[in-house]
Amino acid sequence: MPICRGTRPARALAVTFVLAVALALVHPSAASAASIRLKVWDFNACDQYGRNFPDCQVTPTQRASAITSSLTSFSPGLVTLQETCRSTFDMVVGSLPPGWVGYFFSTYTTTDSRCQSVDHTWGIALLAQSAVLTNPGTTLLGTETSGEQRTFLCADVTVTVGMRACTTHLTSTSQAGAASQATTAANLVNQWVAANATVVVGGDFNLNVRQCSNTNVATGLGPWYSGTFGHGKVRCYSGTGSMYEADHYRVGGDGIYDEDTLGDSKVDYVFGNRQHVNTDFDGDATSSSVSDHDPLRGWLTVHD
Amino acid sequence: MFSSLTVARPKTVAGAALIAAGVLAGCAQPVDSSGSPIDGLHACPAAGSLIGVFTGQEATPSPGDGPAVQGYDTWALDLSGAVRRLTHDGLHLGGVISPDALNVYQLRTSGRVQGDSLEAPNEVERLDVRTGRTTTVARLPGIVDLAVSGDGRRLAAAHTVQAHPDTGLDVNSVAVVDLSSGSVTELARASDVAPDLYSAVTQVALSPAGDRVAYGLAVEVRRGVVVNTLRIRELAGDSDDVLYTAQGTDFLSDLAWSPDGATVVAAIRHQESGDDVESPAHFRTLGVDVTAGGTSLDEGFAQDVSMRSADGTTLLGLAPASDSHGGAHGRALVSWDRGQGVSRPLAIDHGAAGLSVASCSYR
Repeated sequence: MPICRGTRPARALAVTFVLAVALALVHPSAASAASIRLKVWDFNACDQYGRNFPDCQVTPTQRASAITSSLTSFSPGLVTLQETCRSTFDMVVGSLPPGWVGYFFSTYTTTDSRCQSVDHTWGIALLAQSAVLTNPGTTLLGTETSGEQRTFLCADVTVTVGMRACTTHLTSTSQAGAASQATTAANLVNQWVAANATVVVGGDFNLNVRQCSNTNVATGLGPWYSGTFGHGKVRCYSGTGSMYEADHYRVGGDGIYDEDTLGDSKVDYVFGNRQHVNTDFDGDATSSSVSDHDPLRGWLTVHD
Repeated sequence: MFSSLTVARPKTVAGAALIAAGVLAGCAQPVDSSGSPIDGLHACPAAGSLIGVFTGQEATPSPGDGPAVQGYDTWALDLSGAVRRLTHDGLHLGGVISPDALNVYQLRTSGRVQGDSLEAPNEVERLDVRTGRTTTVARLPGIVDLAVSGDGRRLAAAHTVQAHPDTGLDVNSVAVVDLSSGSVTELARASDVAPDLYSAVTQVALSPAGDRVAYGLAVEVRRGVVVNTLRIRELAGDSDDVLYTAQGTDFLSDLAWSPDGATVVAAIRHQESGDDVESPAHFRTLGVDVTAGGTSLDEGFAQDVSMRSADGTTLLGLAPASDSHGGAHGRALVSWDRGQGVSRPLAIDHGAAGLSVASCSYR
């Protein structure tokens, strides 16, 4: 039994479709340019069970389950995690369906029971809905007194568009130190940007962009942002970088910018370089019952 | 109203808990009562208005610190519901109040930062609340929890005895401190846990006479699978009675032993199927009849619990609440009877955790 029958309007649509295909063939470069509305999920997981953070008193097992559920419901193309146990990362990866790839880098080997595992490694991680993850690399940004290594972790993934995906967790004990580390990472990113790469970065920079007149914010985040930035619509700083931040003010945005991600501070960011990201970026810091940080959802239209 | 489930044999609770979870999931929400959580409490002799303590956090005063840096101190809970700071160095990560409310036993950290958190406390201090004088009671590595016995004569500390970060085979145990002699008794590792498995004591409570220890033990039975149990051990013995095994990803977030000795209460951090990081926290209240061995599982309202009745029927806890900037990271004091509704919340904030209420305020 036929489901539908041809009519004059249908035939007209068919002719239009053929013409559109023909035009596309005449301009093959336009047809081959890949683009995606990339969803990025950045989360400082605060895998600190038993430590001194009352908002983080959830075991790695429960935290991993919650993260997996969040990834399943939001379905981001790229995930950037900080303060996560290797055991938590492994449980998340083990619970995700085929099509995900991930990479964990230990920045510190714990001497306490936060990870509830024989594996005491703890650090930062990338996850992506990509066929492969290649060329992982790390850059040491600084070393804490405890030996914790502040690291910029990057890898190549393809979420429709090929990109260099990165994450980091900068020092929390000194804003000047965080600014210096942010500048070092920005210089690295700028090399890839200069080579026409698509770069997407999610991380905890421990610099509060909601605060104006802060020298460390200016020096640390200035090399990242393209154009004016800071304190939502106020935009009290001038950026010299190439990046759009997902929750940054823009004309035509949702009206809520630089939403706090830790207490009343915004220290977590999702960046994409403007050479390969459209101006319709968007961000939303939600809430969490398993971490003192709120997850940051970023939407970036990324293109080749 | 949540219904209770009582079973006779503690070691069969695992299956019963699954049934209870199903029963609980289908129950209606309890009706909140309108009373204050501290209604009915009274002042303790010679302790002024002090009835309890908790650990609070405040931003550090150094402008060069990042936004994540916080200091931790012991705070007092007064009979009026007012709170005030008892320590001011930002280095106190936990504490319990003595039954007569005259002393606070508190955990002090070195202040060293290890993997973005403060080093686990290695010192137990006694703070005389009348004089403000602080003395060292014991030095133990890696303390994660502290309890005081109902007679006020002993402390129990869950702590790391020896760490092997290269293998992860930490030996976590409980140390019991006799406050009159200063002697420390270390409990041996649980005999039913294979020596090659990672295990950690997470919570501890002491019986009124200090002769029995209730503790929470997490064991990684295989990679990615951690089993959390509630156990009781005679101080003079070497084997545990396993009273409860948490189901799924649930775990014991706090323990308390009733002053009459008959009941151990545990706060359970419960996770519903499909809960994500944005889901609100869920709690259960586990009651264990230490004499008869029965258990009950009811709705809970807080991650921390402290008794507010001698028989352990009525509890106080710190519940999640909205915070001053519209987030969900505030804290409120609540009270509830096991199996009943919860009181009106009393805002505490300051990142409050680890509530301890003196039994003299309700006995």
